[in-house]
Amino acid sequence: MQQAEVRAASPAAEVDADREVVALAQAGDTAAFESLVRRYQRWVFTLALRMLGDRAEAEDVAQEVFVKAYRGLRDFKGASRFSTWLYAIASRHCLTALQARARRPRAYTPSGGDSGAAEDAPSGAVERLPDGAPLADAMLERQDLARIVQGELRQLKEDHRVILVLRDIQGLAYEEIAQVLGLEMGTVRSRLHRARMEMKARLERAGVQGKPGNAVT
Amino acid sequence: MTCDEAREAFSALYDGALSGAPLVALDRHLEGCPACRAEWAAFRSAIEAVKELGSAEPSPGFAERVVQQVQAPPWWRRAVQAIFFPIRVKVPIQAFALVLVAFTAMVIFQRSPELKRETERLAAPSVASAPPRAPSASAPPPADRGAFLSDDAKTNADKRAAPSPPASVSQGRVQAEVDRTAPKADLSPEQGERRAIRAPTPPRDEVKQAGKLAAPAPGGEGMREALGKNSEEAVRGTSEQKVQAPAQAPAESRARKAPAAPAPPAGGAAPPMEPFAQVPARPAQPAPAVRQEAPARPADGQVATAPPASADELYSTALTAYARQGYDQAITAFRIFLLQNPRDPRVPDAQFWLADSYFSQQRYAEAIPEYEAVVRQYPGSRRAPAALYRQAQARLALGDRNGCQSLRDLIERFPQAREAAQARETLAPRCP
Repeated sequence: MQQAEVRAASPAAEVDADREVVALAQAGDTAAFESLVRRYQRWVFTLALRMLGDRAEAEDVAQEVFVKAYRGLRDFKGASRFSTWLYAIASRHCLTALQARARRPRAYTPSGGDSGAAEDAPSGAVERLPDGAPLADAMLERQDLARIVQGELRQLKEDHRVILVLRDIQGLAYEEIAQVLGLEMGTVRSRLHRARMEMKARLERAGVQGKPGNAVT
Repeated sequence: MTCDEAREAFSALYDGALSGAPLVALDRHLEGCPACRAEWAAFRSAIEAVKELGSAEPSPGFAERVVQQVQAPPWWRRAVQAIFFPIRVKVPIQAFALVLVAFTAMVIFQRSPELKRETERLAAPSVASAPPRAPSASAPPPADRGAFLSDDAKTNADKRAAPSPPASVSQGRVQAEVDRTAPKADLSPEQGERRAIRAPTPPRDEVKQAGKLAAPAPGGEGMREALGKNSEEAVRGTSEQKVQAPAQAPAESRARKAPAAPAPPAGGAAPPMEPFAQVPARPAQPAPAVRQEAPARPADGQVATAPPASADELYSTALTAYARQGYDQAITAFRIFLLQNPRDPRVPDAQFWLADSYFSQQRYAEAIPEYEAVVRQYPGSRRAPAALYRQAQARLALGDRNGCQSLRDLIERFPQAREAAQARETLAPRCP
């Protein structure tokens, strides 16, 4: 299957930390490909999870992304960084999966459509043994908040959702988002702003309070 | 600068993309406009809330599964391998199955006087010499006998496909739960097979996932009846394997598209396309398939193999499993804790977390009675309001309007609880 090259906004001479490993993988070295999977599995799975809201589906989609990448590896010529190329495959595949799922009937889930119960815990989850009720209560509260936020995230239109996840969860720069999604920079800025404003409005309606200490500049 | 212009610049301001005159103008506007300041605070809060979701890791063994999938041969080659390989095992079995089917057909024919008469009638001289014999009520045509066999087999297939009963706090069902979630890796293949046979029957959709394995089952049941007890041994392996194969289906669906050639090099996994005729040779192999599934989820079922000695250890293990989202393990551990420590002061908490472990997996039908147990048995515990709220959520998730009544009960019985405030907010839009 032909994998379209991502439009490169930066020179081809840009340093790609994965270049050598990618070359080995293209030559058929399975161990090299596996190391690429390990390097990027968290990123790809996070994108799928935040887009789909369900762990099981996200794992399936993430697995499919890497299989697609493997099969299209021979077509990767290095015009962009490998990571950007992989992110583009992941984003397109997540959007495709969402469209396919939209055609199937969905069961009602609490809290406005999220399946937060099947999700990962929020970042900074408990690392040590819980030693009593107060810690468990805090854990319960954070999981509730994460469920609500994930639920509202899933209510966004797909193009708003993906750009919000790429920027505010995955931390990609505007330029890279433009490459990954195949958009102009101006479109990235305006779409991101609209996505953020919509998310703000949804969280206000859901009664979610922000973190304390958000002082106004 | 107008308020609209100011708010349009929030993203740029947040990302540090503003500078010079636009930044100064925006700062001045925010200083003088309380409404825009509030909007800016809310804007920042929303982005921080999204960031707080953070990243996530897939389940252990993800990379290995990807590599296995990319290395898997094409589907047609897998089908050929599944059907014919290993040759010295499968081909003789298939030949034996053909002989068995032919023998069975012959025996059925021999024991069916109606069939013989019909055959003789068709082979008889011309019509004029013998009056036609109309089928009588006592001699049903062959189609009826076939229908009888498939009806009976369908009943048996339905029984096998019956959904597993909801778990409750009782010794026997806990054992079944432990059996289902415990890893089979520590058992011999024969023990693993027998354990899997005793496992609760899976829901119908998991039986369907076994694909072709489900289809031959009616034939297996009918064959046993037709041949009688003498041939029971010959088909027992087949029917037992039919029970085992659906029980494997959950393992297979959790293996996340693992290919037909798993870790055991003989290719022993039971893919859904396996014809039933090969099944008698496979008893030793499904256990490796289950064993393969166990490393993929090492957190599940560990408790059943090495239960902690003390109540503290057991409770900590269970709560840690919950915190790390090993919900099946948490369920098992909480149940054991509740059984072994009925007077422990943490029993209401354990019962609550047990219910929450179901809820967190969207197993609402199973969560509801567990939350009910918290409310009914420990109404004075601090978990009761939360349990009632969760119960309401679970009921609403299943489309049960009794969830609204649960919310009203919560507000009435625990008016000061934090969950009561949440219930009031939820009631208005969802329960008019």
